[in-house]
Amino acid sequence: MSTLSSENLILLNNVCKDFDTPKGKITVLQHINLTVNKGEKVCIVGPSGCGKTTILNMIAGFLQPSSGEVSINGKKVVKPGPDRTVVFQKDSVFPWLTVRKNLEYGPKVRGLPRSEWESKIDFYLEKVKLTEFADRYPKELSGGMRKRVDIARAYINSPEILLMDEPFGPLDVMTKEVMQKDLLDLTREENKSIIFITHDIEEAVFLGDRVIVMTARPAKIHSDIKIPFPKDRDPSLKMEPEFQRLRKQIDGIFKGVEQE
Amino acid sequence: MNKFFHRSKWMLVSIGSLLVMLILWKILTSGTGLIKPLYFPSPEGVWAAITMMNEGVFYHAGATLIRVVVSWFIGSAIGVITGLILAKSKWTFHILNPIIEALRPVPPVALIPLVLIWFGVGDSGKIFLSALACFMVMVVNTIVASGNVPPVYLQASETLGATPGKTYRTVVLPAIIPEIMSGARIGIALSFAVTVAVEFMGAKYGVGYLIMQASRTLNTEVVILGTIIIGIEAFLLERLLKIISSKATKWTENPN
Repeated sequence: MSTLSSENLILLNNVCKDFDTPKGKITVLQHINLTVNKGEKVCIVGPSGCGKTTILNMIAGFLQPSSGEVSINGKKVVKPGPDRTVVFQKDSVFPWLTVRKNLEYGPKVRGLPRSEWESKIDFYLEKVKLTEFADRYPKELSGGMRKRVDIARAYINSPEILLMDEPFGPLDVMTKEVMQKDLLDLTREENKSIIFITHDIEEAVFLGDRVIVMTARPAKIHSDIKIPFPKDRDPSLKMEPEFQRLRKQIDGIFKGVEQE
Repeated sequence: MNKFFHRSKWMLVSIGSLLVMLILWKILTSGTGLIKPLYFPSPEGVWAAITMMNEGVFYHAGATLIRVVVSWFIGSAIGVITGLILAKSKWTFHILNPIIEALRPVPPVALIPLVLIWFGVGDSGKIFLSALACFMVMVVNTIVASGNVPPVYLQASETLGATPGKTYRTVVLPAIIPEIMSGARIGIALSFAVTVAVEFMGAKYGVGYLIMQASRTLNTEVVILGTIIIGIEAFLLERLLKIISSKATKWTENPN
């Protein structure tokens, strides 16, 4: 029992979420039950506006469920914490800090000794190909470059869980492919758990150990599909017939959900 | 090289424009006598006023400058601190904001007679009123700026492990710097206007006092001289603040 509960890293138990609006109460999420194990990568797809980001915000600790419970490692989530770093859909790179200072932000505010993280800064600058922009301000960077700063900043903080809200949305296809591969490589080594929201089904199948399809609002979990590929994946996987079959299957479910 | 040439070309045009104005001034006054010295004295008349007063000019110019800078600094600093408190605490906001909003529409110069009754003609009244004017600008700017910090920055800070106090210091404070700087620049201009106005109404020294005394004795040379001093001082302070401001906001899309 104890081994099981330690594997269940993230647990959403019968979670509902309502929002009070001037037009009355809106139910966004209904009876969400979700378990994410340590090292597991779960991709969530669903119609836009269905409440995917709300799930993420509750796991992050920005929002509390109206009923039900969200827990991490058996502990109820009450506030945000560096064990679960969010990569936001919106640009959240601090414009008043240079790229390097942005990357140093997490370890610095947590008061970690410089020796523990200093070498990681240059490593990740290299990884996201921003070494020569280290001392520039974000305004001098393109949208895609800023996104990479955002992602590197989250990696450097080495959280147990990464919560990613369409992080690769603004990237071009080539960069996106590289970032997907890097995400898999970097997080496999450290056995990180990821919840990854996307509207790109190919991306979801490529990154996920599981793909979860949500219904339209009020959102429920429609299907939870296991992706049987090994953890070590190469972009060439996307051409395999089995990959294409899964992609078509999920695409079918997704289109069905959207028309409901 | 070409760029430098273009720059210096426009610089020459601007200097030329100033020269033409000076020449026109000379021609219209002492050159042709079209304008009587009583209404607008000649350049050499103003120059004579400077040489006649010599260090007296610096005495009055310095007094006004010190009043402006000191009151601006005190008013702005208290304004920022009050604004930050009001933005943070609902209680303080709902207690103090109605008072601030009630006082804000009153033009500071309308309070001069009251200030003269309260403080007399010394330095304290001038500094009080000009500081009050700067305070009003700064308090509003700070509250608005604190409310406009994008929530995603606050969330990013928290999710990276910052405590609420650290989030405040590392996100809210830097994020509001552009509005603070713009408040500071509005404030310094306002501080000049208010200080000189109070000096007109009652003072023992200062450029406003100098101008008013000269006006009463129809000494137009000194009136013009005082006006030029105010212009130069305001210009230099504005320039200085512009340099500081562009350094502090160099990370924004439009540093200024």
